[in-house]
Amino acid sequence: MAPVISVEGLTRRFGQITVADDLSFSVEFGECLGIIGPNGAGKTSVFNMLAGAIKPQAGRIVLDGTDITGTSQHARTLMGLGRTYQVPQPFALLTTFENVLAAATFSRRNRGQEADLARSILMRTGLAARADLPAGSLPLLDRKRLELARAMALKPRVLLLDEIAGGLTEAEVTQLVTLIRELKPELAIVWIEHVTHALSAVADRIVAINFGARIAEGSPSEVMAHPAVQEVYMGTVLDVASQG
Amino acid sequence: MTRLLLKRPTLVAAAAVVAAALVIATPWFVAEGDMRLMIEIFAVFAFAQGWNFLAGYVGIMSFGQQLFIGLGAYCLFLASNWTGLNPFLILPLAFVFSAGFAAMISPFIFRLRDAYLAISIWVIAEIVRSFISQRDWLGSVSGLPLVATREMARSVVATSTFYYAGALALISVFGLYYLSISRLGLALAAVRDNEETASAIGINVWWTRFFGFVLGSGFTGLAGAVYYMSVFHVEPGGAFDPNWMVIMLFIVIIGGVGTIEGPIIGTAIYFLFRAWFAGTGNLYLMMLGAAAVLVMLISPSGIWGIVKSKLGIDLLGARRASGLEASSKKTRTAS
Repeated sequence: MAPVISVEGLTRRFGQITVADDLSFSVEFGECLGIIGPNGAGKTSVFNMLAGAIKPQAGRIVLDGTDITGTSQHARTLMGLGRTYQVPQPFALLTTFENVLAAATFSRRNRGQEADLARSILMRTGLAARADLPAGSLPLLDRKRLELARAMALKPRVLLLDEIAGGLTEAEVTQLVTLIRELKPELAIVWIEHVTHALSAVADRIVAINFGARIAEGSPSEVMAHPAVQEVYMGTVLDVASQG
Repeated sequence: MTRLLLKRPTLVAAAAVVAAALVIATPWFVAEGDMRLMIEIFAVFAFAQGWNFLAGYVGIMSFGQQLFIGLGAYCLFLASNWTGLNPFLILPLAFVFSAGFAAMISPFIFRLRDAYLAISIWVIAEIVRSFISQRDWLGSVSGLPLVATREMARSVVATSTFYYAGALALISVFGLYYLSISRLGLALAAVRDNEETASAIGINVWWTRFFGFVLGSGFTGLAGAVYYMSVFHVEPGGAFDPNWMVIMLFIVIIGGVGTIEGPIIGTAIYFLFRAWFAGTGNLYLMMLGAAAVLVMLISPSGIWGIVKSKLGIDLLGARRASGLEASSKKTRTAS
């Protein structure tokens, strides 16, 4: 089966810092690829290149057989790429409903059913009670939910999730995992996450990166057990402990 | 409750018809002198609403919209004087020219952000003003008269100008309302709130801002042409006067940016202040400033912002109701 999205030799440096170093991976329809790595490993930059917010210096990105490396972000969205932001980026003055409605409208994949789709997504993501409140007034959990709701409303072929489980309680993570599992058969998912147990529960494969380069790839349990990953993550664990 | 059975856009359409009928009937009941004041009020309201559209609906802060007032006026005066055509018939040209000018400068000024963009338009306004001031064929510093209206009957000129000014005011209220609830209005609001996310949901941010800027500036140019047509004379010092910008800011900020109702209130306050303190010279400007500061301290969202949040009244807002809230409201009152 041909991959929905594939990345070949992706490279990007900001001065001395390498955020992507000859990175390659691909994701098939109905599959979820997890990307892990310590802070500053280049995960979000890789994401921004996939979404089209920043341009790679080398390599190419192929969506459904089309090279989209030079395609603008909004055009990629129309081609079926949907993303969430690690730090939620709602349309603050618009209501929660309008945020999702805008996504349903401008992705142009839901002609005539924009409002119905937006309503059903709000119910599914637990935002119905706050549908008519300004999105800028939502607490963090709801903002995170809105990130996912907005991406769902795009009806994407590829869903890019950027640390969507970060900052949530255990119960909330469980809800989220259930929802993402439900979505999985209808699209391809690329998921960057620090909350590795949530990722392991959904991801079919995981790529671990550090300094923009792949250090391990395989099933969740294989990658977690990989010596290179453990070494990198011991550092992170110690960091977190010392920050207290 | 029966009141709510009619959908808001329908009610607004009814209000628009009533307002248009009032405007059409006015020349039969109002003296020419009063009509002149109404033309000025309508034109200034249209200036303010043009800036409000850019700042509150498109998310483009400009401190140089007097540029388009002047451009619209000069375009109309020159076109009419050169060709001898009736200015009332070629008025749309003022829109086309101002919009075209806005389109032309967009690729350059859109490379700048926020305050830099705001000031860059002001700088362009100053450049155009001094360009015109130094060209005899453009009337130089003393300006240009509007020749064609001299031979027309006074009442015809007054009535025609009044109808154009009335149309501007109607568009400023109802045109803006229907634009804000349209798909384009949603795209503009999304871009205004977050450009990054807007492009992530498939909106072409550059073209959306471009369209908003061109539309708003073209409208300001049209309003500028109508205003100067009513005074029969245009000169660069007045047409490109930064004071126009101060008045627009005052009206919009005091009334409430990003709302349709706010600038209506702001315009009323501006003209009342002007009437009350007209003889006081500088004091009147200081009163305007003090009032603006006071309102900003109490409510950054202006007078209409207070009304909206305290009384829960929203007449011409663009809120798209989800239809989901109704059930949760019921549960809230029940509990």
